Amino acid sequence: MESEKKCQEELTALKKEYEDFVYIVSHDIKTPMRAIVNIATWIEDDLGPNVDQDILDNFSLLKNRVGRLENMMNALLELSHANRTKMELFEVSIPKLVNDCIAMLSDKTNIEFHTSYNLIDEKCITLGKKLEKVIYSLLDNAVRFHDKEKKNVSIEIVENETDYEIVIGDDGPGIPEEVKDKIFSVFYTVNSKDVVDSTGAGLTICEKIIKMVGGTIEYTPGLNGGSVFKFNWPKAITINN
Amino acid sequence: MKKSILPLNESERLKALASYSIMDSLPEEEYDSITQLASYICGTPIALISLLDEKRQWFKSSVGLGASETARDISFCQYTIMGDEVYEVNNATENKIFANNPLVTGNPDIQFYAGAPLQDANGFNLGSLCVIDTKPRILSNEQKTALKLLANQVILLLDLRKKNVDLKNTQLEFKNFIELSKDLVCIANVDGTFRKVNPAFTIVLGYTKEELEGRPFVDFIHPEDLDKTYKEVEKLALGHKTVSFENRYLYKNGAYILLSWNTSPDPETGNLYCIARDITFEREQQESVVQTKNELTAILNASEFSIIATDLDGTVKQFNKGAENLLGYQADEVVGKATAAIFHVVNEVVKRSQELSEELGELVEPGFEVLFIKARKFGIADTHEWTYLRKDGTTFPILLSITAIKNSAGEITGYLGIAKDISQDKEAEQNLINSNILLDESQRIAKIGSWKYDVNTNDLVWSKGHYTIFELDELPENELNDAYRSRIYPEDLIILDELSENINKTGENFKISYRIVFPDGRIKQIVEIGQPSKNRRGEVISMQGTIQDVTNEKRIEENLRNANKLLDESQRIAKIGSWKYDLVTSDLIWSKGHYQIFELEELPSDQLNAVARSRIHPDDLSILDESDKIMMETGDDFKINYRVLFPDSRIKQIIEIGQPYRNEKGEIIGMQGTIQDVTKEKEAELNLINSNKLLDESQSMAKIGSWKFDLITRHLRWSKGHYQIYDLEELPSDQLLIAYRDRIHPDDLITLDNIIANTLDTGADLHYNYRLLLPDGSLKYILGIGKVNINDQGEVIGIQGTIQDITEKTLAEQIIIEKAKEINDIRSALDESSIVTITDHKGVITFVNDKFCSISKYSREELMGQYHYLDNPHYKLNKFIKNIWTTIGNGRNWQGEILNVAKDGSFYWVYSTIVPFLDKKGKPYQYIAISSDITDQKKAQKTLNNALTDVEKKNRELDQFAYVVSHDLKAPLRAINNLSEWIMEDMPEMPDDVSANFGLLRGRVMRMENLINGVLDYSRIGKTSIEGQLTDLKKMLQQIVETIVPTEGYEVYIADTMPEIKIARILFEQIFANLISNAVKYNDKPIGKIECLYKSLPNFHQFTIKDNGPGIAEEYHEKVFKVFQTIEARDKKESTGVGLSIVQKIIEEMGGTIHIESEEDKGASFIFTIPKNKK
Repeated sequence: MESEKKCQEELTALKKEYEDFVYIVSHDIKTPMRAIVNIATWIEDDLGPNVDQDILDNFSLLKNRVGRLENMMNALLELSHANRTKMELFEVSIPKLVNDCIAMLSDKTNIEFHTSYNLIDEKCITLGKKLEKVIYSLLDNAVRFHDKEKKNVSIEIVENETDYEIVIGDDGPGIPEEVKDKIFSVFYTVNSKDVVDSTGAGLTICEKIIKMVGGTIEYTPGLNGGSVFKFNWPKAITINN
Repeated sequence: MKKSILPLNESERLKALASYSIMDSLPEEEYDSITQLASYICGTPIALISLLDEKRQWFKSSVGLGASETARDISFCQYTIMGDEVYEVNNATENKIFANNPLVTGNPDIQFYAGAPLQDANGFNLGSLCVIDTKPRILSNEQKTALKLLANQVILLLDLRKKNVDLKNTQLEFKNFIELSKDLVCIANVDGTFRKVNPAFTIVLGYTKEELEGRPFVDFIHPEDLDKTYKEVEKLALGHKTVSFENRYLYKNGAYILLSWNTSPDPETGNLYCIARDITFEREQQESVVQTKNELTAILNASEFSIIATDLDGTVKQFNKGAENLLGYQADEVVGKATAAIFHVVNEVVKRSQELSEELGELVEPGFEVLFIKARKFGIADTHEWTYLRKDGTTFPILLSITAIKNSAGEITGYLGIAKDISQDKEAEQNLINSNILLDESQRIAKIGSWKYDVNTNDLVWSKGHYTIFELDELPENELNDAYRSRIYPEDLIILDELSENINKTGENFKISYRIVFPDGRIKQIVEIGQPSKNRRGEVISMQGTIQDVTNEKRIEENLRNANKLLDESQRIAKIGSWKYDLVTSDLIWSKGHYQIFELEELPSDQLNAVARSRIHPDDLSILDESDKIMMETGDDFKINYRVLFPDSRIKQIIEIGQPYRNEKGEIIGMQGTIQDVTKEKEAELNLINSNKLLDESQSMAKIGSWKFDLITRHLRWSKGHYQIYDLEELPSDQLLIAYRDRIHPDDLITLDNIIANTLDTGADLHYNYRLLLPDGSLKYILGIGKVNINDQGEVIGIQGTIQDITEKTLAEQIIIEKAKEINDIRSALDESSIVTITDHKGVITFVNDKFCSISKYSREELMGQYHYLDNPHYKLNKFIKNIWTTIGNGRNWQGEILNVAKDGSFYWVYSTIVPFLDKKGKPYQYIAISSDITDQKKAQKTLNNALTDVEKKNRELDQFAYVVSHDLKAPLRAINNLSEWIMEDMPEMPDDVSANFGLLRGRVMRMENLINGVLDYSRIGKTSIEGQLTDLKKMLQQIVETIVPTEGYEVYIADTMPEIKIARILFEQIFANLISNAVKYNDKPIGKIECLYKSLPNFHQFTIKDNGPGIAEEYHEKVFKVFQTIEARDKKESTGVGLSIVQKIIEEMGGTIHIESEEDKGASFIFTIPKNKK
């Protein structure tokens, strides 16, 4: 019993350390980060447009990296905040929530969304912001990494006795078999960040949220070569930190 | 009317007469033949046997007279009984006393009267034998002598009659006793048949009397018991007694009844006087207790429990092996000396007392009360976790169940605590509980002398009483045996030796009687009862027992027999013969009767004497000669007893009465007398005495006694067995009643009186129990049954019955009850603390306790009759279950962990001990499994394993995360740095402010990279081993100070003693840099002072970085080392907060420690140590 207790304490400490680590990295490093962003802006202002194209190119690259760094920092911050902020329970209508997410997507050209609901009650009381974040992230990934002209994205939600089973699929490039274990790691991107600009933190945040509410998420390759993300979202939520 | 003439001893005389019960009895030919003989000898028409009571004379026999009685005051006989000689009235009309007597003046016109007094052994004249004539007459001397002789004969008859009446009564009582007895009483014979059986046989065995009598008893004996029964009968045929021999008899319905026999043989007739008792129930009970006890012992053996019984105030009464093992005390150190509280930790008791006070809402004093209050208040086993304190002061956790022990009245007499060692790492190996030897000493035979003999050493120990009986002074153990043997009657010594050899083999209890001889030739009769003790292998290692001096009893028996011989005389006048011997001529004349008795043809008188002597038993001739001689010398009458020995070896018992007769000068000139064949009577009497005696013995062996109380005379009579049970010497009837009531336990006397009064009122059968209180304070338990005696008129005239000493049985029963209670207590305590199941040899469940039901979630009904273990799919026919069965099937205990399935399909773990119970052939007939639920333990273990894996995983994750984050963050950072460098290279004429901004930018990038590196380092510590290198710390510190500490506003002191040691340079840099930069960062003084100090401790280097900053409040001394902990808000001072955690982690990884000494506003010292032997 003693050792078990000790073990639990250690585990809790570790979790705390992890949280703190994320927090400090995102927070404390934010100070010099802000400075870098500001200084870059000042330099840009000071330089003006009359500079060599080479220098401009380099500088825009520099700005890009500064932006990426900032995005990563923000993603890290979001990750560390995932279980601390926007924790309100309120009533949502699930189809409406999905529609809102679709509406939030920046580029919806040539995309066909297929939604299918098997719900006993469209409404439910849950952590609406978190569910929205997960669905939005998955939809955003499906669209962002899509490599075809015509895009199909499917959303299927089935209400079970204790949870919702939510499946989001696409007919995009899919994820190579050999890296599918890494996709939930923070900052991991299948291709270089220069191909598709992304922090690589979205799935990490989704997984963290789903784990927090007591659900699971898994990736399976789609039948037609795309990706399928399936997760379940418990009706009764116990915060599992 | 004339007044009667009364003898001086009239009242005693009347009592004596009454004792013969002769008055108004029916005519008997024996008496009639005497009156006829008298009338014939004296030549008178009338002869009478007249007996005088208070008012009348009554004729037992009369010849020539119609009347059966006359008034006493007109009788002639009243004069006769005044003297000892023949009273003669020759001519009544001329006699002034009788001249006017109505018997003289009228019918029957008595003229002549001669009467010989009938004088009994005590000298009382009961009446007379008289002859009467209507003519005057004178009797010759010879006629007078003959009259006297015949009068003696009448007395003999009267005595015989009285004896017969006594015999009949005794026989009746005997019969009554046998009829009444609940025990089986029978006469059997060594030829193997039942001769007589009592009604109890019908009750106990179901057969009628007719079905048993005459049948061979072996027909009814269990075939397996035949051999030993034959052997026992052989022993009986040799004259040995049987004590407590057991065999099984067939009940009529086919069942067998276990009987215990006590038998005395009569070697002459081969008759066996037997008393048997149905002990089936007792044996079953005994066996069930033994079995339960064995089971319990086995359970306790198999368990790891400490079992401590205490009395009410907590004093330890029992302390089992388990307790000894667990607690380190020996039982004798604590039993009766310590209270159970010494095994407990004081703090815990105090704490528990507070808990209990709250729980029960009353004040519970810390003390022994704390342990048992719940058991006492709620009557349930109170189970709680405690810490036990060993003798050596160490402690261990236990689960303690406390139960109250109650006596049969339900009062709490003590407490029983069963404790289980629950320290995890403990191997289950607990030993035997001291099976309660106290309780086994039920068979106590407290008598007169006791002894104990050690077979191996020949050492003998005697009690004082034993020495007294043997009339020896106390001797050392090793000499005593020889002294003892020298006292024993040589013939009996052989028997004793045989016996003890036998006992060595059989190990059975024994009873034997033998004689001891003293140097002065005296002999004592001894009865010895003994029992052997055996060691674990069943070998007899010692014997012990008691002896009793029964010499007096034997002598009384002897006297009685002699007395009986004397009393026993002729029974039938037809068997009386008379004789006359002329001393002068030596002629012997016999009557026909005499010839008949001697079975001789008539012979000439000169030959008769020789032939007669040849017929007399050679051993008895001397008796005859002696009596002749005495008579010649003294002239007294004689009465002798002798035997006639016939050519075919038959023997007749003869009684002879003889008398001298004299000539006119008074010289003895001859003898005459009568003989009587008393063979039958003698035999009957001897038989009765014999059977009474044997029955007495059987009774005393069987601890039975019989009694009879006469309501009219208020006489109480007891058999010898009764006296023995009451531990009294034989007493006269009038004292006996008092002694009897004295012995009875005062509490039982009134009840007993009421029961008897009720029986007397209603005539119902008596059945009662009571106790005796003996002078030594011991108790005996008595069971009595009885019946009233009713006379012809239906009136209750007496009461009689038998008693039985059931002390042993009662005590045994009480022990059984107590034992059963105790077993229940322990079992219920066990039930509370363990899971108990019993299965038969196939594994079919025959018993489960509540705990098992609750853990398995099955009901008891569902479980009974099911296979244990086998319904578990995980174990079905697999190696594991096979292994269990191999172990227990071979009679060995099995211990281990078993995974079981409950009814709802869930799994649970138990730690089980399975104990096989073996039958006589060593094969298991059932298995008991004692288990404890270890599911939680198992779960905890699993959780622990999981948790450990989790921690490891998390740790790895964190490391990886840190690495990924820092690595990924560094990529754009490096790009920014490189790009800014390129831009600056491409723009040599860059404006100053832009250039400055680029500098600023690159500075921030550097700072960020440093931060990220710090994070990375932090997570790497402990993973990467860094080569140590010899480093001059003073130099290193100077470099650090130069880069970190601003040149103005600070004074830095670096101790000269700073050593040069081999260390991981990078790590030390990190430590010092962090500590010194902290000192700088938090400085709030105009001149910040920083001191770097060193001290060499025996095994450690100790470094101190001291500043004069704001100091750190004590509550933060530990917190500051937590990651990201900064004392002031983050935005107030730029600080990562990572620093101190990294420092601490580094130092601890190296095996050192760090702490802070500081007070607020007085600066802070960070003091850390590094082991010297560390590379």
